[in-house]
Amino acid sequence: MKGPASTLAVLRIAFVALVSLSLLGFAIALGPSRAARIAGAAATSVLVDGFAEEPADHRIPVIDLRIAQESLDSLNADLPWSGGANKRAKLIEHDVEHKVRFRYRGLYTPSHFLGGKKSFRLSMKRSNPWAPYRKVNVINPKAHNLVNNHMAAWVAGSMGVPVPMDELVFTRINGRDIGVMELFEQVDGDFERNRHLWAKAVPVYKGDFPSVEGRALPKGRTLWADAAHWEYSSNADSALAHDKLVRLVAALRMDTMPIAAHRDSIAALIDVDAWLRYEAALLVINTTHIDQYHNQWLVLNPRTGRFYPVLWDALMLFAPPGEPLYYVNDAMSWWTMRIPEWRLQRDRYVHAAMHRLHRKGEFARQLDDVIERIRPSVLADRNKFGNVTLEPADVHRVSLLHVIGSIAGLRSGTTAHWEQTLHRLERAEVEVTRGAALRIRTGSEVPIRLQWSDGPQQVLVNGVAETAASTANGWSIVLHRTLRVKDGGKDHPLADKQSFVVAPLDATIDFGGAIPASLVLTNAVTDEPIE
Amino acid sequence: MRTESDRWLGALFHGWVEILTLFTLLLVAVALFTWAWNRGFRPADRGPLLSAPLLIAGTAMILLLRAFRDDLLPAIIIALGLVLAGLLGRSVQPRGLWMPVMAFSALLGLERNLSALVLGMVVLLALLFSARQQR
Repeated sequence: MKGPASTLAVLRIAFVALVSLSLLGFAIALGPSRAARIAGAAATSVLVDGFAEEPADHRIPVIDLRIAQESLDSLNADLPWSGGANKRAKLIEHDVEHKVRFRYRGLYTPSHFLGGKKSFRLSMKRSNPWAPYRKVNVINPKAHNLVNNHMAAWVAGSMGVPVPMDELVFTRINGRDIGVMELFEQVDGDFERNRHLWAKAVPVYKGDFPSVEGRALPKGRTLWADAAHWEYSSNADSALAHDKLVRLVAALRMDTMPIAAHRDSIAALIDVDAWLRYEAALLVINTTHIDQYHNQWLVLNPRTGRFYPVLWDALMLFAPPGEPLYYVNDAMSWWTMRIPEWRLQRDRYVHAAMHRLHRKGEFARQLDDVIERIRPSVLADRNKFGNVTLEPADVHRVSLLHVIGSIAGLRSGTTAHWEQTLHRLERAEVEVTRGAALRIRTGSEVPIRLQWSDGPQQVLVNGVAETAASTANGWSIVLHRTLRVKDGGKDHPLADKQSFVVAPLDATIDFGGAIPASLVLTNAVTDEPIE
Repeated sequence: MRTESDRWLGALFHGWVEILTLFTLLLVAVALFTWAWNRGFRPADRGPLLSAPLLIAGTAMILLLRAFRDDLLPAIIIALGLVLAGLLGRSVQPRGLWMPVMAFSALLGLERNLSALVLGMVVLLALLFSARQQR
């Protein structure tokens, strides 16, 4: 007959066996790697976050929302499809109640609607705590970083790219802490009015996935294939803007016209400088999240009559370090790469920005400031949700360690990307052979500028006559590089996820006589002389 | 549908690991407390290192506090848990550990790990220093 002690021992063994079997079962069902990551997130969120007791007061704005529980329940019961339904809510600011409309958003990405921190949009009256902005998105910071989208907006803004207002906030709904979220302006016809640039609404086009109808996610459309693929998002009259958009789409279409004709047509419809800064920002923040199908905005500048882009949902470091120097995000990117002087100007913006942000430490200082501001709120946030594996459905509670690791990753990732890119833009190893003519060969990727003051303005570059530009010190020509599409790629403006590589340069410059003694070669991107 | 089942499976696993982690923390604390408590007894009188009723009650306290966070509910749960601990501490061994273990569980349930750690260390030291008094 067994005694109580042996019964207890059997029960203990059975308990341990059951727990082990359950873990094994989950590991088999989910796969060991996924199970390990989910388990790691769960264990660390319990172990680590509880040590942050009584953090300091918030240093970021607090969004305090009141919404009837039954309204929230009805929305929660039908996610993500309930995302289009607005509910009445109140935004409390200094004890003043502001009437707002609340709806969930983010149908395509589960991190917006799974888990305990759901992304939403607020529509407000003209007088509101976030005035002049009337529509703001408050999102669960996606990707593996709290701050990457916020920092992307800051980086691009510092480069002169139009960006939406973007703030990190601490959110409460019905008195319950929801945690740190990212609040940003919804771009619409008020984009210029909100910035006191224009008194009225201006035409704005949104290039994104089609609106959802029914209960199926629609397929993406190639935006630059047809003007109808752009959604008008303004109350301003659209007639002129639509005509310009149709012409722009036509100008981006590949045909037998020379590149110069396309260049001039595009330049008549797009603010080229704004666009090149935007293209430069895409490389600086290293994103491929803006593509042929989504995350694009076009605002028609009423002063110039030309469109300019707005950086949207860029996700800093969306692409890993070491991506191509000439990645084709969309048809506009394709043409930017194809037009040598535009490409050069983009590269110059890239180099200047990386030099300022990385070498002069501006990015690190800004990131430190942001971390300092959000620290108490992140410590107070027991509701951090994010993707813990590459499976979109794996949106789980994550820990402070996850935040720390991802910010460290942002630092090391930007450093790696910027070091690599700066090295490529600054490397100009040129082999020069002087004979009757000048022969220049290089495997580096940058264009080479030739400047001289004591020779002719007309030269032959590879047998083709070229007129040097006049400068303060004489004449100048740039040996632009030839790009070819990566092996197996498709060289077409509407092709998806393409990139260009730089062909080696082998150019002969005939000055029609002796090579000018004053000839100086410089890296056309950095203006550094080439020895 | 694979995604739908995946979603539920992942969420279940996450919750299950959270519970197991909390249980493991409690288990370690109870083992340490009991070890220190047992030092006050002769070897023949010492009880087992892990008391199942103590672990069950502590785990219940943690889970209830994690599940019910609104308004006065946590206060009611803690009060009832401590009253129950006081009652059980009169008859169920290890008698002197019911109150500290329930207080420790309450702090874990309230996500106050630092306070739980401090309480745990104080309890451990108190038990060790009082071990010579022949409980």
